[in-house]
Amino acid sequence: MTRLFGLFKVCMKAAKSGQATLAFSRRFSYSCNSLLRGLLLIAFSVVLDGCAEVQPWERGNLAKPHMGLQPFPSQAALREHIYGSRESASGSTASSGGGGCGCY
Amino acid sequence: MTMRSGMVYGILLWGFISQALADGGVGVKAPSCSLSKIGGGGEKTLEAYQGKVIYVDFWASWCGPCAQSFPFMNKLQKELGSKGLSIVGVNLDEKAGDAMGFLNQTPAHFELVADAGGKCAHELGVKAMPSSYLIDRQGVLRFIHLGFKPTEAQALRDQVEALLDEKSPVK
Amino acid sequence: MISLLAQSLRSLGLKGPVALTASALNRLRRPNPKALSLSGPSILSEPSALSALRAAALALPGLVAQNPMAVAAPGDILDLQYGSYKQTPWQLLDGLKSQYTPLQVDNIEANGLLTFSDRWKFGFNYAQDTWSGATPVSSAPNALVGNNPSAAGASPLVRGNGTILYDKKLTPYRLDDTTANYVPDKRLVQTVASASPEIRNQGNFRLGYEWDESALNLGGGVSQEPDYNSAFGSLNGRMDFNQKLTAVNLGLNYANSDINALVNPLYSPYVDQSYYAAKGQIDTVQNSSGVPGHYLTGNRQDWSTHLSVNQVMNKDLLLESGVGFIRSTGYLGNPYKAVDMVFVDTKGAPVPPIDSSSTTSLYAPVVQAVVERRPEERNQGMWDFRLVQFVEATDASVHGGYRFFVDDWGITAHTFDLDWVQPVEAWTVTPRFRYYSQNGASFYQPYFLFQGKAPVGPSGHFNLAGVPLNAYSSDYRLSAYGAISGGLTVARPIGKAMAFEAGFEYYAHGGDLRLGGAGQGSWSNFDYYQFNAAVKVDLSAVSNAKLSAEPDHEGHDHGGNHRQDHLGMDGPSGILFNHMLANAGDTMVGVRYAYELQQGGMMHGTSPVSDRQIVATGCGPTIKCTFTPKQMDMGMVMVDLMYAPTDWLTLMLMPQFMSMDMHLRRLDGSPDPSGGSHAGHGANPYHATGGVGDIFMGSLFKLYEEEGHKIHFTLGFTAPTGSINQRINGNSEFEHYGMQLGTGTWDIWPSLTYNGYHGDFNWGGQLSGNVPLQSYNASGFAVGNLFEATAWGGYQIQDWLSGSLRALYTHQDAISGHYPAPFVPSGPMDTPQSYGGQYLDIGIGLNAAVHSGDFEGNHFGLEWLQPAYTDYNGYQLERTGTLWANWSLAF
Repeated sequence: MTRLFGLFKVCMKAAKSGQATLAFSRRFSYSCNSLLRGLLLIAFSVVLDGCAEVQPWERGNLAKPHMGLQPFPSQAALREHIYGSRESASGSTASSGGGGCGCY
Repeated sequence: MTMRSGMVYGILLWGFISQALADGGVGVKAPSCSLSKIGGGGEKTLEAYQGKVIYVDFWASWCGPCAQSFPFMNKLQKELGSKGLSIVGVNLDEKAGDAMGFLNQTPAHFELVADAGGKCAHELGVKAMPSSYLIDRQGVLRFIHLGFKPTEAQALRDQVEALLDEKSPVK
Repeated sequence: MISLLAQSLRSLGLKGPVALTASALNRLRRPNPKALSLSGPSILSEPSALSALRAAALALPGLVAQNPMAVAAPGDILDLQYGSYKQTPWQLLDGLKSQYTPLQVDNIEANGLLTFSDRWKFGFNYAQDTWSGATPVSSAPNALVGNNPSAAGASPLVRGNGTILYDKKLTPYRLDDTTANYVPDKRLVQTVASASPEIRNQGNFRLGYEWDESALNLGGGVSQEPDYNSAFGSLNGRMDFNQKLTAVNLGLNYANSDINALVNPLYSPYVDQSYYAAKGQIDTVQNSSGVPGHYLTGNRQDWSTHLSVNQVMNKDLLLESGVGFIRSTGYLGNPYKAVDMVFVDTKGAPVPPIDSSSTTSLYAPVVQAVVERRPEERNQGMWDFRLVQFVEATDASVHGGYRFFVDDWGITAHTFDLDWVQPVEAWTVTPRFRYYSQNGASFYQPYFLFQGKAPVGPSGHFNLAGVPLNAYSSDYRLSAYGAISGGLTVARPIGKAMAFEAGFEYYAHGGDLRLGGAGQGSWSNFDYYQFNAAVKVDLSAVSNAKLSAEPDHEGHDHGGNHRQDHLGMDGPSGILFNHMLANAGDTMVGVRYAYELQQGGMMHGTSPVSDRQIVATGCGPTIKCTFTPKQMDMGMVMVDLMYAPTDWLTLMLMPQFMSMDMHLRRLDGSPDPSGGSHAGHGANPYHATGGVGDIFMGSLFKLYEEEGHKIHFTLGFTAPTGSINQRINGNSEFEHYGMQLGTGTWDIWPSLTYNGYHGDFNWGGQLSGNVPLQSYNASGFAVGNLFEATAWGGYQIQDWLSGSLRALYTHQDAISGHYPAPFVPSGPMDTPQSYGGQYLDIGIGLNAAVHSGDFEGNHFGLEWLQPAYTDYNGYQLERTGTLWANWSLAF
């Protein structure tokens, strides 16, 4: 974990010191590239192990309305719209699918 | 990304896909699931329905397409029940109260049973909600449907009618 | 997908209205990804559960499957939402607040998701934002005296008032009013300017196809406002694995936007625009009063992509993680923002000291305001992580998320958010918390201070090319700061398939809230609060309820007995409170739109009137009129929400949203308008107002019903939620009476309606009145009493289509009371006597109703009202007509 944070810091410093006109791929140093790969690997490995086997009929709790990734979608969209106009960071990468009842 | 990590991701992806494509059970004698009444008590197995075409539908109160499938199954039971069709709706809710709430909203006019522990679902290898299993008069599992969509209802009905029309096979 | 792009685009906001900067709030395309999310029933767990579970237990006896094909899929919804954003007044200094009305934005939006043939999904979204208020142009040392805080409407002094001095150490010195001495003052302050209201419209659609374990969606849309037009498209796909325990989403978005913004004339002559002029991005247009207007034009393109994975970890836990990348190129700046560049030549001669005993040498700087410039390229990356955990103990769920953002402008940002969604009986209560922190862009400074001489060109004027910077901005949104916000959302189902949601949030932006501190000072702090309310209709619950209903139970079988519909459902579109709901437990949602246009000549009584007469007598005995309207239009969106607790009573709630605009012209033979409210606006001023109007609430009582006839009485009130404080361009002058958004008073609205039908014919009549219950509102006036009588006849042309013809008589008194002094009318639209009159209109309309199939229960109507006879009070612009359109869905 600390190694990960260390990598993050290097990445951020590289981001700060560089100039705006550098191309994106050169912008990030080698440590950032490996950081990205590391993150994706983590995401995939989390997916592989560490999850219990949930049967299709055991998804009652997940199917509850408030267990969706976004229980109030239009409100969330409005709030993200406001945040995006008051802040510099861009919106979340909230996916459009997953979780829930898993019905076909 | 290097070739190596690309391959790793590719293998992971393939693993997921192949797992999803796994299937099985059709053409084999259906297991004798033990089913109970909603709320507990009164055991029954699938063998009790021998001689009839059984439409086993696994449903739960939290499953949206289930609500859409009930009017269709009600109609099917009403129209084909006399020909030997038995629709068995197997409820998989952990709490009977949830099932009753759903039934108040979307009534069922076919036989309802419960499988709270999911044992029958496990034996039949239920992969999705809802799932329908069509078992012929000999007790052989013939068709499995994952999910329910109103446009596929007619195809389902045709399969049921075909099973009803089958005569006993020469052994 | 669209949300990602929209956010990236609007991250630094293009802003404001023609006159000035304001938040990019209205510039943003409304993303609303959920409503247009077409990835299938699995993720839309909220509506699917809503459909089957959350309805009130109205036991519908028996059932007959009428048409199993005619169903909406779980997840099909229709959603109407209103949002209001208000910023607290800008803190200028030491508790002194800006006199300008702070930024506020009202928005309304409608979106829907429909399913065709089970696998085709179509989503649409329409949104309208109206915003107004003041925002900062730039920031500067307080000693510059850029603001004139005691007078709203004063031009911002972006170059200062010429009294700032600097010492050798580059500390700013301010001329103290009381001691007439120079004192050091290191404080910074925003330079604020106002803007006139503006309206942004956006429409977008989504088309998708669902396979069993994957989906593909294509979307696109446009966003339009006077200075910013954008077109965007997206493509995204989803694949499910592990029996839908894992989902992978991949999306691609593109947007192309054109900017065409008028640099605020209040400070345009003082702001250097040479960089963009040299690039050909400044268009100079002479407006009608001879003052040149500079339009800054540009184009930007944004590409973005993202990949996310979500995974069901166990029965109670869902995790999601994603990465995204955005590349923006082109004109990425904000045309309404400027920076102050200050050059202090400490080697030159200091100014002679006021106080001869002072030993500090003070130097007079050269201050130049320059339109901001940002790099032409921006690459942004982000990673986010979310979790949703079910809490068995209270049947609640915890939602937490973290997002890391980094870009090549030097900004890195962290966002943490946490929601606790708690069902409480029928309600759902959700407290939420969010923390955001960013560091500043590498080219951000509150202002740019240089030691040395200001670069000048051969002509002796300031030469921007001599400044050694490639990018510079003082937009506080690019500075280092943190923000904390907290809020609450409540939701409750109503009836079988409707749900109501409301939310509130308070947000505080603070330089010192930045993670690790060291953010900008408190001078750039601001707070805002926002409120939103929405009505959602779950279309799959609507169709499930219909399928489960008994066919011969009167009123439920909308499919067969369309005669039932004639009792009100298909009345002319322009008539309100036309029908009641037939049965206890019924609900109805609808949207009605009215567009009223006035254009042409000015009228007095029943005949035209000359400009000379208006000038002489139109504004009262002592004042000569100078302007008159030449075109006015009003758009009104009304959301009808009805619920029948019994079969003789229907409750109704009708929020309204108004947008109005007016084009004016000088009156022939009128005196010079300088000094009046339109001074400096040229010969053809244009005004727009918009926002929430008054909200109606009432009850409809069935008085009499038999085969072929029905009479009901409606009693309702309108609450004065519509603003009556609209001002022209941020200054203190009131808008014209007709441009206010409401009446400002509680009004009572009784009406008596009769409906009849026989065979293919239907007819009816209505008498109604609208009377203010107060003598005057907070702005000093009250609208006149209104009385209307209307009668109509209709004929069933086809099974699904009917036509109507009607006559409407209206009598409205003139406005009573008037704006408080010192209000100087500039034309008849500013005089209370020129409102109201007697009118006779003829209406012709069409109504369509869907009786079977997937869209059963939807009704549409259209009507045009043509003035046949008008007797205007005072001097008014000729009425051209009114168009009514409505849609409703009963369930």
